[in-house]
Amino acid sequence: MATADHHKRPLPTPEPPESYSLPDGMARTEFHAMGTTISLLLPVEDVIWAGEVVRMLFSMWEQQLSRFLPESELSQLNRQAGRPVVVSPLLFNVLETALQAARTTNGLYDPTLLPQLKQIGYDRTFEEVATQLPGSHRRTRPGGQWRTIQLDRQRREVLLPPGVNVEFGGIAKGMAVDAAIDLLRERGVTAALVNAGGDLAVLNVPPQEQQWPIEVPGKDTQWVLPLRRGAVATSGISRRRWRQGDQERHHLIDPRTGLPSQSGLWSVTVVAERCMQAEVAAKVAFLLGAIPGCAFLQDHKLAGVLIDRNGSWFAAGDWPREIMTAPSAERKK
Amino acid sequence: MTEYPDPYDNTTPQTYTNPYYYQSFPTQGQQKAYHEQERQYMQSRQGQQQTYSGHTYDEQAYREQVYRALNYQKVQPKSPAQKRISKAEALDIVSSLKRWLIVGALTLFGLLAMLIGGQIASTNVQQSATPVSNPNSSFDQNTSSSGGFFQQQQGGGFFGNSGSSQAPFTNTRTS
Repeated sequence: MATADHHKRPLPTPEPPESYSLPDGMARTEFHAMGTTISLLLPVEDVIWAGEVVRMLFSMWEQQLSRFLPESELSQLNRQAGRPVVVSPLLFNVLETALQAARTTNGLYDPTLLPQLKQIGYDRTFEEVATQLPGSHRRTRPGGQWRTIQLDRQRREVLLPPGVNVEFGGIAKGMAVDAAIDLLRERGVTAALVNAGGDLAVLNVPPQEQQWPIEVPGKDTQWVLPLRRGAVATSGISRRRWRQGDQERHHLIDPRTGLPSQSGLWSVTVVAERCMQAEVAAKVAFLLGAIPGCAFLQDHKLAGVLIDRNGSWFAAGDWPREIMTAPSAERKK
Repeated sequence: MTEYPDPYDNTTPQTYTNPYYYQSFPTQGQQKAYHEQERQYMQSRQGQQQTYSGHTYDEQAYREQVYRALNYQKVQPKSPAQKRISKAEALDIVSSLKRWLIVGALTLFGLLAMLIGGQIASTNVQQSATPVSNPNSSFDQNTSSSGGFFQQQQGGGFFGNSGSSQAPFTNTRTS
């Protein structure tokens, strides 16, 4: 049975930090890709070339895997549903990993929810989605179509049955973060942090530091997580929300219903070895709800914190509870 | 019974007063007498036309049956005449069959050997390259469960000192 620390006390609303500090000897560089801001912390001597390498990596992944680009390889694959298609190693690898995640989570992570997302109005980049959409009376259907996808690893062929479309969501972003960290490690970078809109991973620790202090958002506050290694990801509905008719919509679809999750949670933050693991685990725990979500994280030996819509938090695994009660005013320099 | 001359009997010399009497038909009186004689004759035989089952014998139906039977016999294939073959011919046929049997057995053996060899080779390739869950198809359908996605390589040790009040370097906002 999972244990969960439940904090019911209303939390104060601190001021949002104006800027984040920099560790000594490191520099920050940012660019836009995959529909979000990619932020890198790199050693000063490596920031130019390493920043360019990571930017190219994200650009390539976006060009191949974005569902919003009509000419991306993923969009072409979706258009050819019903016949086998030979795909690139990158797309095959991401799809195979996504299907493995779906199997492990028994379908709670589902990469085939694109029709459901389009039905609730998320048929374009989030910046283009209107805050108020007309109501829809079409019935939604549950997910699970990922089970019908067939892969031929030897030929690198993918067969999507007719009507089945793939949308990777956060797992592709998490995998891109992991790939960037691996690339920087291979190129000899001593310390780095890659943050893709909240999905982040670290390489070693900064010089003269013992950890990476990472701000974790709550409902009305935030905490500082001392991360030494691994990756962190947060899934929640604080940002991607809109209305369709008189219904509140968000992008976290529950495949059991085909509708936006009604688990009562606001956000889930998970720490794991790899960013893709943290991303999938955070989404699944969000869909499960507070107590089952904690049990899920503990079953997979993951640490995380779940915030409900009232601002109460539930910690799971090795999540450092002491940071949750630390005075928020001391988190800023 | 009234006797009347046979009009077609010209062997009996008769005296004819009418030159056209010769080979002419009987007179009406003679015809009536003839028909009456026939009627009486048929009546006398009427009992003989009854079959033992009481049904009236129908000669026309009988003829049709016979006709059909004859026709049926006509379309019956005639059994071929059994032709005996000589011993030499029989030996020739046996030796020919032996040759075809040997050739067929060798061909079948070669075909089976090729199939088995190909199957072993493809199995080895699959095992060395990428194992697939469905041996009948190279496509892998996502029905088998796998629990390796969340496997932690090192396990634990993610967190540093939470007691130090350090300013954050970045955030993990909602993605």
